Amino acid sequence: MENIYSEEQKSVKTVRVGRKTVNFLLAFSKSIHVVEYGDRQFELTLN
Amino acid sequence: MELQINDSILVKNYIDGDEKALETLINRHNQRITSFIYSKVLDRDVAEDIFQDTFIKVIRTLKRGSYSEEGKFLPWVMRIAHNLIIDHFRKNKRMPKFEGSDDFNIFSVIKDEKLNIEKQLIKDQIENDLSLLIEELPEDQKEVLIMRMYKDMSFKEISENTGVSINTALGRMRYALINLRKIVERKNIVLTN
Repeated sequence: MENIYSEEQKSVKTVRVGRKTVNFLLAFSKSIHVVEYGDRQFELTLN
Repeated sequence: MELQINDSILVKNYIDGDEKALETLINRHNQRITSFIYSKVLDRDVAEDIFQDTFIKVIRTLKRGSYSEEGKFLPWVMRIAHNLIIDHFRKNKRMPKFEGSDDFNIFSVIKDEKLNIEKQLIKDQIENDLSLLIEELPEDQKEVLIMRMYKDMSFKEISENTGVSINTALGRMRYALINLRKIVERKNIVLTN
């Protein structure tokens, strides 16, 4: 079968963020708490 | 065969306090979101920063209970990332960055147009000396020179104001400059810095 594909196909670089960033986000998620008081919300960040 | 839990179930579990659900969501969409950001910004570090900011917004929104689940978690995250990419380019447009190298310094090309205090003093001194020299010119030449150089008048206006022809005004200006040079030479004055 004749090759119908172009030799130089558009390349899309696939990248991922590193483990460090993922761990930071997981730690951030664990540290943040939302407290509701009446109709207001407060964000608490625990170290 | 591993059963993949739906995004919407993971989101619900996360809102209910299951932190592991967030890790699954991040890992599941990591490559897709990062590649999308990278395709726009073409910088690994910037892409990583935007990815991080995107998920910080996701986490805050989910924790606050502001997210309405419509089975569109990924498009929602992509939209946040897209907005942050736009913010990034807007910020960079406002504050264009330039990184010099060892053999090229931007400050050798651009500089503050304002004179420094030393140059300003020299300029004032020269202008002061020049006004004294002009005082030594014959009255008709002095009049034309002041009108042309200090009052920025055209030779037509000078001729109308002094009642002489344009050619005479031009001639007086020419002699004023010649005489000024002579005075400068005679008094051995250096007017430039």
